[in-house]
Amino acid sequence: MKKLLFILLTLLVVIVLTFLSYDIDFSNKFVVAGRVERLVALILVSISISYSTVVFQTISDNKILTPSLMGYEYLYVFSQVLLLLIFGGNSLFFRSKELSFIFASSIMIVYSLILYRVFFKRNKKNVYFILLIGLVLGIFFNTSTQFLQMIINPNEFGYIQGAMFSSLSRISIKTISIAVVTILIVIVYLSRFFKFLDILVLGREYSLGLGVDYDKIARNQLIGISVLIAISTALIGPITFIGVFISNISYRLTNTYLHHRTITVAFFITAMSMLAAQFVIEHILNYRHSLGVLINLAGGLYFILLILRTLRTKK
Amino acid sequence: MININSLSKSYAGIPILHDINLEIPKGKVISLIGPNGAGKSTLLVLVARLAKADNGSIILDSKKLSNYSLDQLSRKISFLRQQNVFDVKITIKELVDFGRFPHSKGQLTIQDNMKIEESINKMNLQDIKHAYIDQVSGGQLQRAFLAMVMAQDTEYILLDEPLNNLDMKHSVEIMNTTRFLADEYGKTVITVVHDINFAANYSDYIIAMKNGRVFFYGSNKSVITEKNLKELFDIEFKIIQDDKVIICNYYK
Repeated sequence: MKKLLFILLTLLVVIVLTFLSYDIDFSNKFVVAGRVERLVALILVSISISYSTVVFQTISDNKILTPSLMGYEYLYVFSQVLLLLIFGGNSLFFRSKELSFIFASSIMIVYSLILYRVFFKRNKKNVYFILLIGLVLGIFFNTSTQFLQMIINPNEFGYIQGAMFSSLSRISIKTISIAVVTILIVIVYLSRFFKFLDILVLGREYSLGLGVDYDKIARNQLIGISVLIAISTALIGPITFIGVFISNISYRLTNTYLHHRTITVAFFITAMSMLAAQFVIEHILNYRHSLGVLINLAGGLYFILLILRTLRTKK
Repeated sequence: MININSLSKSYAGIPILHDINLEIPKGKVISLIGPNGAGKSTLLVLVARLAKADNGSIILDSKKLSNYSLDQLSRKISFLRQQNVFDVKITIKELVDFGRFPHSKGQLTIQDNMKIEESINKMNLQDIKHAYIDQVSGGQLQRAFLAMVMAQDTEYILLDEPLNNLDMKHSVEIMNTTRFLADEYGKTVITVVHDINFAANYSDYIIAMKNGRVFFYGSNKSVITEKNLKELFDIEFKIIQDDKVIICNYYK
């Protein structure tokens, strides 16, 4: 484990340094600040994605799910389309990065709070039930978005296209600062429950039998996850699909159920792949592709391999 | 002692348990027998407080079950589920460690480790304690979970079909272990057993259930009769007995 962490840490440091210093004129403060901003944003997003995916998979007892199934990202794009239709492309929502960030993250948090409230009130105690609702709502948001796109003025359609893909173009120092504070608070709060999370892998009955209040912990974690996802989506757009392949690489490397290990390793891998992808976009692809496209390409391939492997072992 | 008073439970409108009244003594092995769907597992689930009863009450050592905190209860009652399938990388040793969680809260002391070692030895898992639970056989997994329950070291131990997946040798070992837990440590073991002969020979008391009701309940000597068993299972029985064993023959 120590060796693995050392290797990952070294790799990450190398990538970070390359990302910051490749082909740069250090006297140009604007360029330097821009790179640091992007670096911090990607690190923040990596923390949210790795934490939320691993814990979400523990709670749902399924290793090929991501919290993005809950429909957050479709809701995000949908809300952008609605804003555009109601207020127009010149409104403050599109000119101010901060306002759009706060608006987008709040709407996702409110959405998930309502979803969980309904869920825990009905006392169904089945995560798949809420997942299905999230999935259906996600499809609803997505098709509504597609429908509304038809009536958008072609000049304004560019705004929506911008929202549909993840990119670092919408970050600013203020949005990053808000994200740093929120994510840190959430992570510190949630990580207090690590030792209970490790028990949660045994499922609800054994957790309760061992004196761990499964429902309360699952609820806290799910709400925390929704905040993390909301912040990272509002920061750089839909990206959480990457979580599936990140978490599975992490499980394979760590071979343990201990969350502080699986999440740490998952974080390293996420940060490395995001920074590497962003680096490739900036210096090799000349900004022609978005971060999400590149990462989903790699992630998708891994995902197919994963499914093929599971199918083979099942036989 | 566990007192169960007019307990009833239904799932989605379908009644599972009707008006159960039982008084279960301490320090004994009690077998729950009866046909499939009789409500045996549901009764255990209610006693372990994993679900709420619709009516009636359970009193555990003269305190209402609902008045225990989750933490207290985890040091009072342990529960072995019927099916244990997990897609996680846990070793047998780590699983047994989990059993100490109610006592250790994650920080294992010397006492905790002694109890863990004892359980692992008792369940014959010493050689494979570093194997992952998804790599061992069904019987080994079953013993690993039993070791976890043993490590939890509670006064009351509820086992839902602990002989599942086990061959005869290991079944005998498990039943001997339950006897040992009751006789040496004074534990109360309530276990669902499908093999009537294990129930008849290894338990002190037998609770027979049918269609959500207690069909008969008493010391095994008094209730294991051809008439009782025939009415319970709807098949013919012949009881062969000497001074050591009772064999309930229902073959041919």
